[in-house]
Amino acid sequence: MSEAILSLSGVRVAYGRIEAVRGVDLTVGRGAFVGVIGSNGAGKTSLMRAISGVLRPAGGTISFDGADVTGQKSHQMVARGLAMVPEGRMVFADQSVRDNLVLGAYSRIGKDDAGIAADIDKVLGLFPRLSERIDQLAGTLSGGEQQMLAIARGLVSRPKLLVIDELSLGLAPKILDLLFPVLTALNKEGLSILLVEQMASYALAVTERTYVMENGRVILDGPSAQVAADPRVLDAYLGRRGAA
Amino acid sequence: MRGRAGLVLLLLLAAALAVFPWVGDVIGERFPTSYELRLVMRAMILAIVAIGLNILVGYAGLVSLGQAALYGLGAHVAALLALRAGFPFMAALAFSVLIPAAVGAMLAFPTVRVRGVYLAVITIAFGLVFVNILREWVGFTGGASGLVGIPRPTILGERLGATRALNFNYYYLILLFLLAAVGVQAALVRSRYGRAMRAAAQSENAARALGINVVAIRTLAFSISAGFAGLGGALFTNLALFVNYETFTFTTSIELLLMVILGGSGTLAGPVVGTAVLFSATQFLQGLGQWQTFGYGVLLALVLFVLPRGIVGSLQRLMHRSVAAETSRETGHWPNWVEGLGPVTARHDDAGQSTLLARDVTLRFGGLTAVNAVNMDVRAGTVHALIGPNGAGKSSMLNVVSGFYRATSGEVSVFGENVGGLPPYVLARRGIARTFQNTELFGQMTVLENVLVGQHPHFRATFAETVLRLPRFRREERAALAEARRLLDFVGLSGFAGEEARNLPFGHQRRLEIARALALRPKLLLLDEPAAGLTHGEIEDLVALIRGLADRGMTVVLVEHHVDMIMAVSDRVTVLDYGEVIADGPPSAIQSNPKVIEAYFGNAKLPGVAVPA
Repeated sequence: MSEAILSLSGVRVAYGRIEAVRGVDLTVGRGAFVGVIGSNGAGKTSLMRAISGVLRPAGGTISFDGADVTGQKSHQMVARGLAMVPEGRMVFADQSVRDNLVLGAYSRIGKDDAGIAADIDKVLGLFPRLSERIDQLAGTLSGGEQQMLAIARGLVSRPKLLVIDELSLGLAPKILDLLFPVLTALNKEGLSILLVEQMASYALAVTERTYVMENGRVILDGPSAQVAADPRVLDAYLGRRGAA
Repeated sequence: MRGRAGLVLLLLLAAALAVFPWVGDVIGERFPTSYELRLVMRAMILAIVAIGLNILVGYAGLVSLGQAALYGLGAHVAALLALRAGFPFMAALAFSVLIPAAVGAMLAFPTVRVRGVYLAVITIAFGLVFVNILREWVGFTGGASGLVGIPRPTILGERLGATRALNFNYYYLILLFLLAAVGVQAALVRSRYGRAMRAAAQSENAARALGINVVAIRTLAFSISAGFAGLGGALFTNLALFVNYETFTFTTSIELLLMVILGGSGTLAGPVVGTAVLFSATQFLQGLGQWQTFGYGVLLALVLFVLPRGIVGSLQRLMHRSVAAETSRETGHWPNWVEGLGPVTARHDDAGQSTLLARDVTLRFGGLTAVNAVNMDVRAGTVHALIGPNGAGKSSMLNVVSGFYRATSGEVSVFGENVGGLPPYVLARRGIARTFQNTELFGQMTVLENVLVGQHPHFRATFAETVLRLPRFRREERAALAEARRLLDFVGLSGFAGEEARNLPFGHQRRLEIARALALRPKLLLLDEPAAGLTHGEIEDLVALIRGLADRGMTVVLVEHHVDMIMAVSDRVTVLDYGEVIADGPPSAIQSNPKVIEAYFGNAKLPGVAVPA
């Protein structure tokens, strides 16, 4: 069995003639917490779509959990243990919080209902605010609660790797103070996490390793502390005035 | 260019139609027979009706399942006016267009507030009632035997007909009307009317926020489509010289819709091509006897399976892929204060005044109080931030100010006038522009078109000037295009001008939304989380943009979570928690206010990295 849970080699993603990702190598070790940062249009979301099987890469290979999964569909990736928390959260707005969580374990419904119930209890322990709102429609939750629900829904599928696209999008600082420690705790328990984050200061603070993307390529990667000290990153992503 | 596939098809078809009556002279056979000639004329008439329907379905995004009734209405108006009132051909024709157009407007106005199936259901009902009246009101419509003995049409004493002796003049008149219909459709689609129809179909909220009266534009679309149907009806009456209800049943409505979808709804050539294909197929399938309907169904399913966007739509897509993209997809720097932005940025409210004044504004949804007795005083030419935890009522407040919600109690005045209860499009026209938290772009329109929609209220050319493409229309259109390009330069998106908006990266969508809001030439700009999804570098650019606008006189209300940004850009900050104002003052005072720290910033230290200053 290989060391890495996810490893990308020369992955390219194209929309028609336009290449959004131009040959990316990226590795997430087992139990690692890895971040991807970069400006808009750098190709981060396209890369995540390729990893999660929403898009078929135009080239390169993706291996997950020791198997070549290049070109596999998203439902196959979920079955293999990849959970995606998409940009903009995408909770099922007209269904209750509980039903959203049950749908996170879609493939086990009817086969392992006791297991699902136990998993839901476990994730509700991580986010007590969700248990207060368990029967509320997901669409009536605040932005922060929806993000908690999206993460919780991802966890119910018992993932080996959690991929999060834009955790901080539209969230108040106080909510972020609540969410990031949860991710750190999950990672300490052994969950591998790949975090795409626009707010580089947060990503660099919580992850062990960071990749910086520009124009569809990785221009820099390494231990997060080292990346944070790189002049290019300081300039473009942390702001000249210093971090938050 | 995107329309090229359709244009080529259209020109070929027009040329073929123009020589069709004379083919026999070349090949030396009796072809076309008068029967065949009449078939082609009927197909051209149906194409005119289908073009009208395409404006409704393909552009305004509404479905009519009763178009045959409007077609029949035009036919009966023409027949009755000629038969009972002795109207000459052209006068009867005019009424055959106007009466269905008016009926269409009356049907649409109460139903198009909501998109979806409502209009479709109303049109079905109208169609059923209409056919029933035709069948039962024997004294007026002749019932099943219909109206017979309609006089042959004449223009200025010249007899019209489709015979060699008359040089097929009625055939060519129908062809002329068909070409005119194609021309009107093209002119309409490439104008602010067409853009507004598409905008209203793709994001109703954004359309309203940009000064588009959605109900009016949809009513207009339906009225136009009904006018086209009526024109077709009148041409049919004068071809057949006999009408009864059988021609205008529900089945015909469905066929018309199929013609549009088969050809490619929302394409200029689609309805004509669809009519040609479906009409020929019907004639061919008649040979199959009782298997006719079966064959018809299989053919339709097959074509739409292979060409899901219809014939023209799918062809265009193929060609678009092979043609080199006009877009460089290079992101420019922003804000880029290019020459000529003055008309957009130099608009301001009289300095010193309260541009926005909210007094005791309360908003309740059932038992939930989203905004509770909020007071806000936004001074002209300042940047006023509105912050608070998720769910504190910030977006609700923006929705009240921009007219999307009506305050349960309290008063909102903007530019010194009470604006309570005014709809969003009226407020937009007065100078309030906004962006949306989750970006509401017109996803299937290009980046450039999105900005052009923002200019909708500035056009002065009338409907007639637009359809005829008279000088004032062309002048305004050119000016609008130039300003839209300047605005794209301003936000660094010129390299994406031809790209569909939905393909933009999320942060670029935010930039485009700002450019589109500015196209409205607002005096008050409401930004709902414009920095969400932007990197630090991009946020610094956004700060420069907002500051630059305020320095030029614009008033900006900013809902945001990025603390650094709020501190850098705001003149004043109002903090909401559970719908109530818990603090209000200059940013420095807010930052150290214990209530704000408790409710919003949080007591824990923000995660940060050690970065040398």
